[in-house]
Amino acid sequence: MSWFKEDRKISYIRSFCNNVIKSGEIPKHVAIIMDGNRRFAKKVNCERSKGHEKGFEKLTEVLEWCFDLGIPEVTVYAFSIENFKRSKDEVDGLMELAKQKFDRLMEEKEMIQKHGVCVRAVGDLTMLPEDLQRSVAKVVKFSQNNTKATLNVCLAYTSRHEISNAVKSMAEGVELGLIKPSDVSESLLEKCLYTSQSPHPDILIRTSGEVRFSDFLLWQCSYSCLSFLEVLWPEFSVWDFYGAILSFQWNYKNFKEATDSNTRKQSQTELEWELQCVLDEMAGDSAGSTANGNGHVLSTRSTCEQNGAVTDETSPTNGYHAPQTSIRNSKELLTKPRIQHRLQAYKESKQSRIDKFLAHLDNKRTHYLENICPKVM
Amino acid sequence: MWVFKCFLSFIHLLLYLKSVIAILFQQIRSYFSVSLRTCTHGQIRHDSRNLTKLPRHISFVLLESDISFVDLAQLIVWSMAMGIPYISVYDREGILKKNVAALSSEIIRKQKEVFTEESSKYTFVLRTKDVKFDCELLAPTQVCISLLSEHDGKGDIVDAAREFCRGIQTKHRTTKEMEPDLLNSILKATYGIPDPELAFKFGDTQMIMGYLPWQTRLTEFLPLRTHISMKYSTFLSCVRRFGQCQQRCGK
Repeated sequence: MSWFKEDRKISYIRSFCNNVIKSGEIPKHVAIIMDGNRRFAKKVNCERSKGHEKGFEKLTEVLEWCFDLGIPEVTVYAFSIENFKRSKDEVDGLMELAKQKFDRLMEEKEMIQKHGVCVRAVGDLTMLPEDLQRSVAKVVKFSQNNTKATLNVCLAYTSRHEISNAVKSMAEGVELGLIKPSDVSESLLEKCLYTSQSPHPDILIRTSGEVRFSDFLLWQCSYSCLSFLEVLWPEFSVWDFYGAILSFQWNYKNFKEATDSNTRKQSQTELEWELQCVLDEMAGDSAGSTANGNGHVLSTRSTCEQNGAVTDETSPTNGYHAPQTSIRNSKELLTKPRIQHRLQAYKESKQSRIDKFLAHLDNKRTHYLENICPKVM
Repeated sequence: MWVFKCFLSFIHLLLYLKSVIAILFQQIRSYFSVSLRTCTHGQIRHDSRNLTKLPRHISFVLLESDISFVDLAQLIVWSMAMGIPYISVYDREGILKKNVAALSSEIIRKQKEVFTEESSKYTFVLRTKDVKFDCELLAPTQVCISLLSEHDGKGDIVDAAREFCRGIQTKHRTTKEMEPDLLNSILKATYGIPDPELAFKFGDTQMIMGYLPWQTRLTEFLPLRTHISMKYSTFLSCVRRFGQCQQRCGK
C-alpha cells in the first residue's frame, strides 16, 4: 500500500463540500488519535494485524483529505510507550509494519519532494528497535527542509515522558552552564518539547468513542478544539472529518479568544518574572556594595526599598506566579528608567544564553540523526 | 464568483443553524422530562452502591462565564454523598479561589439539606496549592476539595522545573533522576491527590482551557452544557457512564 496515489479523482459532491468548508476558517494543525483498529478487527472477524493495516490505509486517506482542504500540518499517535506492554507478537508486528511503511515512504522520494512534505518523528526514538530507528531517521533527514506540509508521527511517545524529558534537557543546560535556573519559563520549556517546531494543534480528533487523552499532547492540546467521535478508526469517514472541522469553525471565536488571552498571560508572567530576577540581582549588587563600605548610599537604599516591597510577599523560591501585589507594583516599577535599563540588559543577556542553549539542543538532534544513518545521500 | 462564494457561506450558515436547533430541541425535551428521583442521602448512597465503578477523584471544570455557587455546592455534596473522597473544581481565572468563604458556607448549607441529621459527621477540607494539608491521610468521612485555576496547570510544571534546575545548580540533584514519577512528586498543585478520573466539563466550548495538562492523561471528560440547575438524574447517569468505560492503559 503506497503513501501517495498517482491519479486521484474527487467527485463533484466532495469538491463542492471542500469548497463549503473552505469558506470558513481552516485549521493549521490537526492532531489525531487513531483508536479502534483492534476493535475493528474483532468486529469484522479478522486478525489484529489486518486491523492495523486497515488503520494505516485510513491514515493515507485522511492525509489526502487534509491536503485537499489545505491543512498544512497533521500529527498522529502511532505508538505509545505504554503500547510496549502489549504482547510481544503484536509489538513486533507493529514495529515491522512501521518499518515497512517508512521504507516504502523512502521509495517514494519523488512524491515527498513533489508535495514538499516534511516528516518528523516525535518521541523517544531510542526505545525503538535499531532497524526501525534507521528507517525513520532516513526519512526525517531526507525531508527535513520541506515546508509545504508536515506530518508528525508519534512513536514511542507519551506526553509525560516528553515533558519530563524537556525538564531534563533544561537541567542539562544548567549543568553545562549554558542557562541559569531562573531562565526556565513556559516558553523555554515549550522549545524543549519534541514538538518545538510545530504550532499547537487547533483540533484534536479521537475516534472509537473514548473521551480521554491517553497521554497524547497534553501540554499542546490544552487550548485545542476536542472532537471525540464514536466511530472506529478504520471506519472513519470523510463526513466525520468534515463534522470535526465544522465544529472547530463554529468554535473559532472562542478558540481565538482563549489562545490570545493565554499568550498575553504567558508574556505577562514572563515579564513579571524577569522583573523579579532583575530586582533580586540589584538587591544582590547593593548588598555587596554596602559591605564594601563604598557606593551610592541613596540609590542603594531606594533599591532595597523597591526590592523589599516585592520580596516581602514572594519568597524567591516560589516566585513564579507573582502575586497581585507585584502586578500592581510592576507597572509602576517599569516606568522607572533605571529599572527599564537594567531589565533591557537582563533580557538581552538571557536571550543570548537561551540562543546558545537552543543551538546546543539542535546540535544534539542533528548529531543523533547523523549517527544513526551516516552514509546516505 | 462572489455569488458562488456567498452561496457557499450560506450553506455553511445553514449547517450551523441546524446544530443550534438540535441544541434547542434537547433543551426543551430535558425541560419537560420530569425526574422522579429523590436525592436524599440514603438514596444517593444506595445508587452509589449499585455502580460498577466509582471514581476516586471527580473534577468539575467550569468554563462558563457565570458560576453559580449554589449549583456547584449541590454537585459537590452529591459527590460527597456518593462517597468520592477527592473532589476538585476548576475555573480559569481563579474566581473560586478568591471566594473560598462563600463556597464553603454554601457547601455546608447544601450538606445540611442532603445529609439532614448526619451532616455533622461528614467533614471537608478546602485546599489550594498554598495550603499545606496532607491529603493522603483522609478519614473515611472526610473529603478533600481542591480549588484549581489556570496557574495550577503549566505554571506549576514550570515552577517544578525551575526548582529541579536549582537543585542541579546546587548539586542536590542529578539530571539522570528526572523521570515522569519524580516530576509528578514535585508538583505542588495536586500534591498527595490521585489524578482525576472523571471530569465534568461545563460550557459550550469544546476546549478544556488549560485544565491541568499533567494530571489528565487518563481522565474521562464528559461534556455538559451547563452546571446551572443540573438534575440529579443527569449527574447519576454521567457517573454510571464512567463505570462502563474501559481503560486498557496501552495494552
